[in-house]
Amino acid sequence: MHSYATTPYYHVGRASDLTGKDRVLYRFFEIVPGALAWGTLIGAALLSWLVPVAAAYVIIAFDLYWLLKTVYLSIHLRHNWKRIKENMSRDWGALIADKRYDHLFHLIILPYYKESYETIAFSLNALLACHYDKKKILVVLAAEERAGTEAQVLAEKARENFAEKFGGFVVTIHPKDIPGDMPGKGSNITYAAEEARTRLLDEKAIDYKDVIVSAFDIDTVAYPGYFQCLTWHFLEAKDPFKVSFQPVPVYNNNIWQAPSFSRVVAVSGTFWQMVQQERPEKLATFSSHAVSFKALYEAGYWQRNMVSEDSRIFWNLFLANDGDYSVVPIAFPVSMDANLAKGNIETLKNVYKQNRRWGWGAENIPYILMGFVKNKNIPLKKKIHLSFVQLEGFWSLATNPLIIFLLGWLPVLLGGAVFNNTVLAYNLPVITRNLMILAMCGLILSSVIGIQLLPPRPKGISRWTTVVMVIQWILVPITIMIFGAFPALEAQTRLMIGKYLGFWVTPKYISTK
Amino acid sequence: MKPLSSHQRFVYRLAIVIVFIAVIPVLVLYANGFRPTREGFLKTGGLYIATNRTGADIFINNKLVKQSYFFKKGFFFENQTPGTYSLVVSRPGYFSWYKDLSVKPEDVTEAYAFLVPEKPGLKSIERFTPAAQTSTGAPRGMVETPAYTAATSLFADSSPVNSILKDNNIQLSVELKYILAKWLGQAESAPAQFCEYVCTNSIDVFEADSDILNYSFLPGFDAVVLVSTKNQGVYLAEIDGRDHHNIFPIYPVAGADFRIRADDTIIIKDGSLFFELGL
Repeated sequence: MHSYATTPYYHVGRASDLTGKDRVLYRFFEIVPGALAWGTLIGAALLSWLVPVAAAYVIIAFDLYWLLKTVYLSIHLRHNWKRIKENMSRDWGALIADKRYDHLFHLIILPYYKESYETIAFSLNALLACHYDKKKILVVLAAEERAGTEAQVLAEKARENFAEKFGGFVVTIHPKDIPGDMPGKGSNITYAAEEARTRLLDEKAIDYKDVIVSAFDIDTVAYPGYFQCLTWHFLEAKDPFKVSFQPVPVYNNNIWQAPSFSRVVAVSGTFWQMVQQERPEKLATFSSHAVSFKALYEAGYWQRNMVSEDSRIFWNLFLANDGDYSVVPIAFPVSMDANLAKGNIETLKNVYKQNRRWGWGAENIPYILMGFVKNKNIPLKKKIHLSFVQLEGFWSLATNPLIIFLLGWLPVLLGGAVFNNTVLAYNLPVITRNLMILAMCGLILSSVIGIQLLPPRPKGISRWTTVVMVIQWILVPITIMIFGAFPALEAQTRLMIGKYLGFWVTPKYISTK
Repeated sequence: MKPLSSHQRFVYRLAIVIVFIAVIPVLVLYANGFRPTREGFLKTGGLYIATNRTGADIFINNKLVKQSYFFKKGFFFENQTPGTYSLVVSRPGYFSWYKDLSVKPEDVTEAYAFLVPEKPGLKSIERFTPAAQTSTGAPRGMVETPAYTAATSLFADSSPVNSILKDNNIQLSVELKYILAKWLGQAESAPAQFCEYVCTNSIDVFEADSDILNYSFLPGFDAVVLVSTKNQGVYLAEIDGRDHHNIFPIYPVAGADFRIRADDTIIIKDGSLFFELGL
């Protein structure tokens, strides 16, 4: 690992962690995503007002670009769906049987805050149901001291009920007052990983090279073949210490109980990850992911001072390895909870906050750009490509839905009487609408794949819900704005003006339905 | 099964770039009204016709092309070859609206067809009503209704013919026996009704054959004027300088006058009779 890991920029969380010119530069990079987004939106409004004809041409071109992009991404989605189906039906046990893998251990970190025992037990039982030697599975149940004694009682209960069933089981309690720790998953799992190192790996004299760490959420449910599949990919990797492994997050745990808008947002998130699985050069780790303990230990674990530790760990490792680090998309799902609260309004708020937290992933932009400036060993072509990919990704998220569904009307609203009396002004909304209708045809594919991703309908859920599962996709134009563009724009604006977000724990609510 | 190879993805990307490059000029030309013909591309224009009524038939060059309905009273007719078009908007029980409109390449010519009933609704404002009963139930005679008193007081004001009315940058004024509409905004943003072949900032709305008693924008419409004259009664005229100039009788009785109440109700006065007008 390169000496970059020892520089002051390596674990920087925000500009104020640096000093001098570096601080100014980092702060500038923090402003970039928000400035690009607002520049686009304000620029579109100004263009519509001052040069409506040009604005109309830009919008028509953008609509066509969006339609073709939808087609392009749909191809990726369909291909990944085929791969997932194939991987789900594969006998991974047979595939790894002729390989030497009994030296490998899976260290599974399950951080939690105030979630219920049922949630914890559900995930642990899913681990027990996995087709893998349980003695090779080490579990770390990572509690938070700030969650109070009640959370620790649950951990003890889990230890009593599950500890003997795994090769190792430790409960860690992340102290609430460690200097430099931001409350959240990153600081908790980093503490847990280090505890696991001393209390499990060193105790059992397990080589760090032989440990694959899965950083799960407490609601992450591994499907039976998951660890076999992950092991196979680990063994097949050219250099398993220079890659992370990314499953596909699906939100099946409570998908039948969640309201439609929550389902659409959740499944849209799954689809995006499926698309990214087919273009690994754009893929960073997200949510539940896996990485070798060796690489993780050398990188100093996940960052403790920021929100998006799941993707940041990839960039930490990427920079530390001078760009020679990537993500292996394993096209195998893990299931988590879709947003579900006691009422629809509460669920709506939670969906927004969760997407704002994901949108806050823009905090990686200044880190990446700073790293590219400071690390001279990464090829320039790679730096330019990845900078573009990351900036374009966050820019698209915050602006494209608004350009498509709102700003398309701006030339007509702001263009003035002369423009409004042109054929172009009359045709612009019609062309925009028709191109969007064509793009929405892709929703049929989404609907088909979405249905196939579903777990069996539980008892007590009406058949009508299945029908709703199909027609719910008409909500996409709304959800893409309310839960896509708006939270992303808020996150980028906060980053731009220095109103930093803290970690927000998605509440887990178990419906009694 | 392997992920999409970089070669496969390159081919898809290339195909999409080719489609984009091929389609975008077509879309831009289409959006600007260019249509392919045997002689090459023709620059077309458009017509936009809106009306205030549902169930109104819209004819272009004597051909029925649309009928308005509850959710849609305005229609865009694209692909119109440059030239002059004869429009009629009609509905049984209403005066037909006529207009000749010229269509220019890449431009949309707009018109608003305000349909007026042949027999406008007139609700009489009763002058008298029985007085309140006494405690013994004996009649106490008739008294003037508050509505009638209020209507009378509306007309007690002096005639407003020397005033100037303005709505949405359109100013109405009287010069001699003409009601004129002036466009006060920038010349290039003049509404369609001020432009035939070239735009003008002033158009004749109504020519009276006698003294003008009153005139006003029809409440809620900045392109329609209500006017009353000494000999002709009450008429409704559109603010549109293009042929035909549509003027419809509302209460064509000599000496009849009108006022607009604060709640935008139009009150017609004919001698000692008062009516609420329903259009």
